[in-house]
Order: sequence, then C-alpha cells, then structure tokens
Amino acid sequence: MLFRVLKFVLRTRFSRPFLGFILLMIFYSIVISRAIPPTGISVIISYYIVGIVAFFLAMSLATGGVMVMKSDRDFLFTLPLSSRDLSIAIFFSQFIAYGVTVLLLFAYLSQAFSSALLLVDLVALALTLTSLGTIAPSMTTKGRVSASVLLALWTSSALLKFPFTPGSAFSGSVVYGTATLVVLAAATVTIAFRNLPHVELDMVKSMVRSSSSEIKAPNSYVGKSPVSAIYFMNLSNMSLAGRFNMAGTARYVSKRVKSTWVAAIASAGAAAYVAFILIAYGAVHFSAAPLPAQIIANVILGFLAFAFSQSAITYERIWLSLTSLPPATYFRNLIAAKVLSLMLILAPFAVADAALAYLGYAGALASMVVVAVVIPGFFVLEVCWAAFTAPIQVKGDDMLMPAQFNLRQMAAAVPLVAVMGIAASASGVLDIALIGGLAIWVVSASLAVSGGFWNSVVSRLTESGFV
Amino acid sequence: MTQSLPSASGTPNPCIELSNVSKSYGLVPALSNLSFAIPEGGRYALLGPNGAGKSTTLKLLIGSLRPDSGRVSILGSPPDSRAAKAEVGYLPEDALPYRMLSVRENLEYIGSLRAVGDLKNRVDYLLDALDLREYERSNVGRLSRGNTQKLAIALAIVHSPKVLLLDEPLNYLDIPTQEKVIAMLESLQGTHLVSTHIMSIAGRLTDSVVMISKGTILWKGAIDELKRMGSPDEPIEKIVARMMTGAI
Repeated sequence: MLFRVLKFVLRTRFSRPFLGFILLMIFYSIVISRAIPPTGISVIISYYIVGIVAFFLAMSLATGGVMVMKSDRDFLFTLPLSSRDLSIAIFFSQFIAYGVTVLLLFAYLSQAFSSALLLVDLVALALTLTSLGTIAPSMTTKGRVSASVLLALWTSSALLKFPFTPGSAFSGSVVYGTATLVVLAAATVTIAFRNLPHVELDMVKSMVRSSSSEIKAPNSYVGKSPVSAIYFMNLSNMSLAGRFNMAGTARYVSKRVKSTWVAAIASAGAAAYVAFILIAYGAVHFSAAPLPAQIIANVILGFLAFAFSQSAITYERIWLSLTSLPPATYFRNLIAAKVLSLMLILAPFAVADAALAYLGYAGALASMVVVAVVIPGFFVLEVCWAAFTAPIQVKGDDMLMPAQFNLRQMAAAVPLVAVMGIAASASGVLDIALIGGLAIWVVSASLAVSGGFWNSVVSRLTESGFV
Repeated sequence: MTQSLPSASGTPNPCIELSNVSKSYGLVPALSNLSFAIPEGGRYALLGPNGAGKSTTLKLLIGSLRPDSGRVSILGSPPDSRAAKAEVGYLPEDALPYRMLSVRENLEYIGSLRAVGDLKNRVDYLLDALDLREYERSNVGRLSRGNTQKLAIALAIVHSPKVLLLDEPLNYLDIPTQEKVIAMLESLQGTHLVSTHIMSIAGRLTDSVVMISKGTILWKGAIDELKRMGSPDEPIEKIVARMMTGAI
C-alpha cells in the first residue's frame, strides 16, 4: 500500500516534465562530476558553500510549507489509509521538492571536498532542509523568521571556524561538522514525522494569507484618468509578489508594501553595497577587485527583477482590466508602470555604481549600465515572454503547485539564464553591457508596444483559464 | 458612443449578435456556427448543459476570445472595440477582483479605468446598495466568497453599462442578498444576458431564453413559451432537461 500511496502522492504533486527535469539534472551532475578535474578546497569555495548552506536552511524554515492540496484534505485524507504510509509519501514528495537539489551539488563539491563524508553531509543536509520545510507551517511567522535568522547565524559562524555548525563540514571541521549535520537531521526528521499526520496547511496558504485583513492606508483613485490610475496603483504601493525558486521548488508569495518603504530599504542596501566595496577593496583603487561584488549584486537584482516579472501578469484580472481598456493600451502602461516601480529598487544601486565609477573603481560604469538598462529591459522581456508562453493566474490559496508546471510553463525561466549571463559578463565590460542592454530593449520594447502581440496574449490568457 | 440605429426594414438593430460563429480550442470544437441575436433591452438567459459553450460565448462577447470564423457584435461594434467595451459590463463565473486591493480601491480603480464620472458617489452608492460599506477597507484576498461575489457584481456595473453579461450572478450569495441583487439587476436599464444552470434564477432575472448545446443553438424564445411546451404541472426544469437531451 505504501508504494501505491507514494506513487499517487508523487503523481498528484509533480508534473512529468518536472520529474524529467530532475532526472536530467542528476544525469548532468554525474557527467559534470566526471568531467571536471579535482580542484581541491579553497577558501573562496568554502565561503560560498557555507553561505549557500546558511541560505538554504534559513529559507527552508522561513518560507517552507507542506505540499498538501485542498483535494488532499477533501479526499485523500478522508481515505482509510495508514497515517504512517501517508506521512512517508508526503515526506518523500517534500524531499524531491526541497532536498534533492542539494544532492545535485555533490558533483561539484566532490571536486573540492575529497572527504568520504561528503555524501553523508549532503544527505543529512537534504533531510534537514526537507524537514524544516515540513515543520515551518506549524510555527508562527515571528517564530519562523526568528529561528531562520538564528539558524543562518549559527551556520555562518562556521566562517569563524566554530566547528559545531551545519556549515562546518565545508569549512575545515569535517568530523564535527558532519556530526552536527547528522544530529540536526535526526532531530528535524523526528519532529517532521510527528507533525506530518496533523498537516492541514497547504503549500502556499500561510504565505498568501500573511497579508493583513484591512488595508491601513488605502489609495483613492477618484479623479484619476485611466492611464494615471494604472501608474498610481503601481507606483504608490508595490505588490511584493513573485514566483520564487528555493531549493528546487518554486512558490508564490505576495505582500503589499508602500513604495517609499521599498525605496528606503533599497537605498540602505545600496549604501551598504558601496560601504562593503569601499571597506573590502578600498586599498586597490583602479583595479578590477570589486568585480565579484558587483556581479553578485547584479545577479541578485536580476533575480529580483525576474521575481517581479512573474507577478506582473499572474495577479492580473483580465475580466476587469481588459474589458475596460484595449489590451495593448492597458499592458503597455501596466508594464511601464511596473518598470518604473522596479526602478525604485534599482535606481539606488545604479547611483551607487555611478558613485563607485566616480571614485575610480573599475567595472562600476558597466555595472551601472547593467542595473539601469539591462535588468529593466530584461524585466519587460520576461513579462512579455511569460505572458505569451506560460500564463499562470494566481487565483487564491488553492492554486497550481509549481512542481505541476508543464514544460512550456517551466520554459518561462529560460530568459533568466540569458540575462544572468549578460549580467555576469557585462558587469565589468562596458561594451557588453551597452550592446546587451540595447539588444534586450530592442526585443522587449518591440513586443511591449505591439498591439498584435497583446491581442494574441489576451487569447492565450483566456484559454489558459485567466478570469 | 455607438448608437443602435434602426435597420432599413425599420426593426431595431440587435444589441448582441453572433452570426455563424465557430470557435475551437485546439482540436476541440466549442462553438459551431452559432447564431443568435438579442434586441436592445432584451433580458435573456443563456442555457445549456455543461460544455455547451456558454462561457466561450460570453468570452467572445467581451472580446477576450476571437472567433475562428463568423461575426460577433455588440451594439454594432466589434466586442474588442473601445465603443463596445465602454458599454459592456461583465461578471464571470467565480469572479476574482484584485486581491491586493481593498474593496473600495477595486471599485475606484476600475471606475477610473472606465472613466466613470462622479466616481466617489457612484462607489458610495454601490457600497451601500450591496452592503459592502463595512468591508470597504478590507483586503479582497480576505473577503468571504459571498462578499467577493457582491464586489464582483458592483465592479461589473460600476459604469452603468448598457449591456450586461452575467455568468451565474447569484453564486455564493445568501438568500436575502440574492433578493437584493435581483431587485438591483431588475432596476437596471439595458440588455442583459445571464448564463445560468438554475431555471428559477433565469425566471427571476430574464424573460427569454437562448438554449445552446454542443456549440450550436437549440432553441430561442420566451420563457412562457418554454413553459407551454410541457404539460401544465411539469416543472420547467424537466422541460429544459428534455430539450437538452433531445427528447423534445
């Protein structure tokens, strides 16, 4: 019976393309592990891995959830099945969603970490990630965030050579670090299995419902023209919503925040970015030393733009907007407004890069072009691409699970690879940044202003079940 | 603004018209040479079994789908024209307003997109008329299904449309609210096309029927005429069921 339950649970949570993609990645990682010559452990790799482990652990706990759908609560959980079988099946599906990505790292890490304990480390880490994601819904939001921060700090303390952390196995303390990971995995798996029979929350409910029930400072649209209403809505508040990918699975989160807050936080982030570069690389003026920091900042901003692009259409209500205005008029202005709101986040970083360029740091000018031109252009392109290829509407709490996406919907992330490449390679080279930015804008602007394109998008949205 | 001018024969032009309309989703046909017309001021129910093509018909009428062949017009204009959009109000089944906005923000935002004059008073009127006043600042994502439906109805009529297309408008509403909405819809001027499975609702909101099945027209006429097709004591649902299954 366990096998049948397991098969049913997997089939109802993961699309075949998604499972195929996972298998492809496993195959790819095996090939890579054979192809890349051993490099040995380096301080930089060690720092990166500890950072990744801290990030994954914190995110698993902060944003975790159980892949249980409404139909499970209505039908599957009412069947006379063994709760043990059900728990194992759900845990295994959680493992595929949360944990398996970490195992894929084995191919790369085996080049750097020759320790025989590496596989044990990664299995323990994968089990811990899976369990934390399963435990998360039973905690309060404050508890989850606090525990995530503590977990991240504890893991990061490996960088200070503290041996008993989940990251220590990757920073020199192999035995103690592995032992810590194994104990942590055993503890979290035990708690997870205690929680699983009482699972009630679905994967996204806790996040989607985190918004308050009353809008504290509502906007007034009285007296606004149709076009100015679109800009006012998108510029006064930001819907921090998007499809996030975390440890192999994606999810939607949404939160309405005042734009001024977002701009203030972005400005603080940009100031911290400048301060970091000045402190870390201050002694090496006119060199290319800041490049890694710029690349990381630009890649993060690129991901942010991608996350924003996913929410541009998914939360749209075409029965209201497109029965009020022609599609091309509405979408052109909507995208322009959303690019401007994205610029509230990007602009402080562009200014920061300009300041660094003024101070003489190499690559900062190119980085500024990436932030101010390439990433906004990518945003427009991604909105158009996602609307055309893979429209998915977020209707409510009981929505499509990301792992159930079909191949076309999964392809929505393809441009992200291109822009990451441009963001990384153009960060230090002004010519690439300018040419890349120009190319992206030519394509994206052509699509965004095309009436025929948006008319075909409307049909696609409607046929995809948009309301 | 499009006017419905009398035709050469003197009869008024139809307000809603579908002429030989066909529409497929890939290889699956949804509508096949569907033709019917509804005169200005007409109150029609769109009936049909599941999968008959009712929702597709409504989506063609609001211009979010285009027919593979045939012609669709609203007040003489294509449904995706500005002229038609200005005059049409649409309520889909399981309508979803913007969930990140409050009730009032939804009404004001859509009212602004539709350039509704005296918007504040119009919104105030709708909030009171549909008992939404106490929820005006509420996040729509947190509303009950019934209140969401009331808001959706308000959004469909915020611009006082001349043509109202409603898909199961009374879904999720409690009985007192149903009566309130029925009274409100009855008081509205214009042409109404109501898609529903429930004959009692069709009887309250409309006086005529367009019945479709498998994407083609099955029958069109007055509800009274429909009743006369059965025996005197026969419930109208039975008559409709017999027609849909081809027994009449």
